[in-house]
Amino acid sequence: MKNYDVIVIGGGPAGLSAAFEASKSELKVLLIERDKCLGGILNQCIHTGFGVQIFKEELTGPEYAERYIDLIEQSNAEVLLNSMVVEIDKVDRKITVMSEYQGRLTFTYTALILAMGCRERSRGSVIIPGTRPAGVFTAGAAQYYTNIMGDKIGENIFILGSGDIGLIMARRMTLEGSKVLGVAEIQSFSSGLNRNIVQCLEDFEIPLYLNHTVVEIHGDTRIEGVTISKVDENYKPIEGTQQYISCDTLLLSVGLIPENELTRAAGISIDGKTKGPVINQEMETNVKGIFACGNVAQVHDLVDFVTLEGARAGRNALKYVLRYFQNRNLTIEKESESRKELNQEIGINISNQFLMVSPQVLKRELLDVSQEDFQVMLRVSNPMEKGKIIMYVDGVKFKQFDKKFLTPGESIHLKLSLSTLPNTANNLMFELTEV
Amino acid sequence: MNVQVVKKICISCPIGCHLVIKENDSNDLSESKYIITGNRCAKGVKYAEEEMSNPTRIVTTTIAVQDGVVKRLPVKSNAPLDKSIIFDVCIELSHIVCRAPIILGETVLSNVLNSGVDIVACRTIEHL
Repeated sequence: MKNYDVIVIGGGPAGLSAAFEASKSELKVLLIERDKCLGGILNQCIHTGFGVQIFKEELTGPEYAERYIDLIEQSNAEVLLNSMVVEIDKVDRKITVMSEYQGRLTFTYTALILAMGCRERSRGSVIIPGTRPAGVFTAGAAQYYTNIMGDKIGENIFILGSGDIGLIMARRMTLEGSKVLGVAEIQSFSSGLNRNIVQCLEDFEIPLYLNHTVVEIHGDTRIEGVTISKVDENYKPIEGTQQYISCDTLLLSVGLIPENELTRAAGISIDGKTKGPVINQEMETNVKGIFACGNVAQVHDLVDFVTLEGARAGRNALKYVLRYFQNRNLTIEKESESRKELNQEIGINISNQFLMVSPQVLKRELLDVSQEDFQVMLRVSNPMEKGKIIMYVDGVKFKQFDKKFLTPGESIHLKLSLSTLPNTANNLMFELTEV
Repeated sequence: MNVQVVKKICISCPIGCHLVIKENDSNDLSESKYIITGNRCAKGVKYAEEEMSNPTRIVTTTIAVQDGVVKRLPVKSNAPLDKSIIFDVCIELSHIVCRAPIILGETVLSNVLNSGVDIVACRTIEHL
């Protein structure tokens, strides 16, 4: 059994950034990745648009990943590839890993960073009636076959869901010589970025069917076609609007869910809205010493935000470990008792005009004067041209933020400072009204 | 007289203004060729004019790799290419095979289809 100060689970953008930040110290850091190389999903995202916030240039996914892989290779962090964490023991601070070449391994940690990313929703989660033929792929799986394996997945393709991955794949398949027949979106708007609708659909004259969904899949061994239908405001198919589209491939781009099987099994609290662990502004979960960052905590719209979150988790894990060793010199019981008195937790709530908020709690150490500013990330439920976000502290209006062009596809980031909040604050509430 | 009207969504920033681009039928040559409405800033005008005269895009795709730890190399055009030659560029690149090792930024094909634009590697791929 090997011992580490910080262990990071997942070598995508969040994990790379967290491990790099934690390794800016003398601490022993281990980064574990289940694939044969680092970079995560960035490796298959060959389109441009990554890094606009951090590097002020438009990089492709692999280029963006390589910048951080290089940093990790030059750092003192250890990397374990082809290895998957199967269990977290939060009591003994121990993880069990299955490694392709070394079998079953056990490591102990002082701080653990969850950076497992997210997973695509599949056919099962959107429940499409019909037969179960081959040729139905999630957009990300199709992206892997195309960009990593170099395989052609089909000739005539229909896409359900107009999230960014679906839009990107519409262009990708077209450039690979396939015919993309259309994209159906159940909502009245696309959750993808406008620029992707222009560059991926309009450039190639691919029709976008808003307020439409696939109501049936046809075919025995291979998919032969889909029936699409217009839907009403409750997403129920409207009788008489069905049309048959002949295709040999259906791609699903119907949303992402944080991958939290490990987290749940470890008994870490999950937020019902983000579907990720409940976190505070330091990216710490409700279990002391376990942090979460990137798409495992909440699905982000830009990788730049994932990297920044990873860095924040890495920085705070490092701080945590240093404090943990300092306090070991004192008696541990006394420490936890005194910390309880000094710590105050402030809950963050949202009205139903928002889909989610992150973090969900604020940790405040009343004696710590050097508290850094924090960010609240919000996502609206519906597009809104002009809105005002009102922040309440314990029911009293505290601050107002005026925002324009709000859409569920683009998260809102509000900068706040702990020191400006009243000492008595118990909860924050965010409300949105249209102007 | 039949004036052509084109609708475009501006992609210069996340707002995504819905632009309406009308041909200017005035005979005064000092006036601009198009009348653009729906834009919220000057970037919209620039975008619309470029889209009408010479639309360009960065092209990204993959090419085959021999002896590499992975089978495909992601590549991009190092400058925007005329929209009209994008398909031909992709076909051209489908015939190319690269041999590992490959270093990020390396030119894979220079002056693709005489466009003056190079195709460069987006990933380092080590020899198997």
